[in-house]
Amino acid sequence: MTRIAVQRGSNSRADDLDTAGFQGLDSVRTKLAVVWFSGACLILLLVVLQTLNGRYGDHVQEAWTWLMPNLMPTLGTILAGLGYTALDPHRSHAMVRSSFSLLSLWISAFYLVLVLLTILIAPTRPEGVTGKGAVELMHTANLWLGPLQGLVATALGVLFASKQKRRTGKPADEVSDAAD
Amino acid sequence: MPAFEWPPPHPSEEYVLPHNIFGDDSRKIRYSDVDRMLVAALAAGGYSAKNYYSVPRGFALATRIEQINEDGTPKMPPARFALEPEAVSILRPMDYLKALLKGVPGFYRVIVFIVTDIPLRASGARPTEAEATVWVSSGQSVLDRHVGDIEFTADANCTALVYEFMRKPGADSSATEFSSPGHLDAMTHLVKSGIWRGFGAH
Repeated sequence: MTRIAVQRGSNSRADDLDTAGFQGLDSVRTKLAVVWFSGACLILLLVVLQTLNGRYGDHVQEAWTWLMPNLMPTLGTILAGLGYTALDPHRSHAMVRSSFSLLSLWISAFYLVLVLLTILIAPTRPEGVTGKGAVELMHTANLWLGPLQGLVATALGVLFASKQKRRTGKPADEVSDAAD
Repeated sequence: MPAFEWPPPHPSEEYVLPHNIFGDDSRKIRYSDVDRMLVAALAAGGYSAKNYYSVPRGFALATRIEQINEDGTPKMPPARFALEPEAVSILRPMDYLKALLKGVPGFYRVIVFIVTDIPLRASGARPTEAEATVWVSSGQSVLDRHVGDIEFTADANCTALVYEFMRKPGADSSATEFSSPGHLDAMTHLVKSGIWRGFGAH
């Protein structure tokens, strides 16, 4: 991060903070968005293919009813957070501790892997071979996905939905962030 | 012996076994001899459970419902005689991918041998999997002596009725449907089940 900041010729407060284990909020948000959107696209594509091929038999709706609440709230939060700053001409110099950024990324990746595993593991279990059995496995997975989603939502809420204090007449890069 | 439904339910496929597989035509044989050869052939195919029923002027011998592969070969135990679908190993990548994306179809088979000198004409009734499942438990474990003493004349025949059931990929295990016609012919079923080899005919 230090190297990047120097290359950009920035001599703002962010440069000093980078060296002290901080990362730019925009950069962290971008990384999380990439993880979430690529993971979710993979999972959605897989379930679409399964649906079109009749994998879930008469239980298609139940499968999607399980999947959507597991992905969409977080994707919505990310999209809303990105959308909120999309029209802002100023680059945010708000900073996030690297440890928190890393933790958020790992929790997100772990959560998405668990969602994907729930789908991938079904055919290897005798009870998951049928559409009904696969959906039952999905419901069982909610036991651990639910609490984990709470952690993900908390982390991403801080990074994407926390309000930034703006100083009147000052550019956005001079604000402090709630996560900072 | 309990009576088998007569005329028998409409099979997916049927095949009249040639007389010569039961021995030389010049030799006089009885139903008990035919039964002995059928039992030996079934044992060669791995069928230990079987049930006898009476039919007009003869008997019926029903095998236990078994789960088979798409090519007619039996599933490996314990999946063979379990009605629940078999899980797919991730070590077989193509099978796994197919199971992941499309689901696994289930194929089930019951073979009923009917030995009688009455010309066989199946009814239009289509059996359910539940009915076929009890064929191996509601009959008798041995052939009645008086039936076994009946002579297997040139007019008598041993007919293999193959009842096939299929569960569509992704469908529940209870949603198994009778297949007619079957996806394999009766002779293929007899060969792939190992029964035909048991008759000593290849």
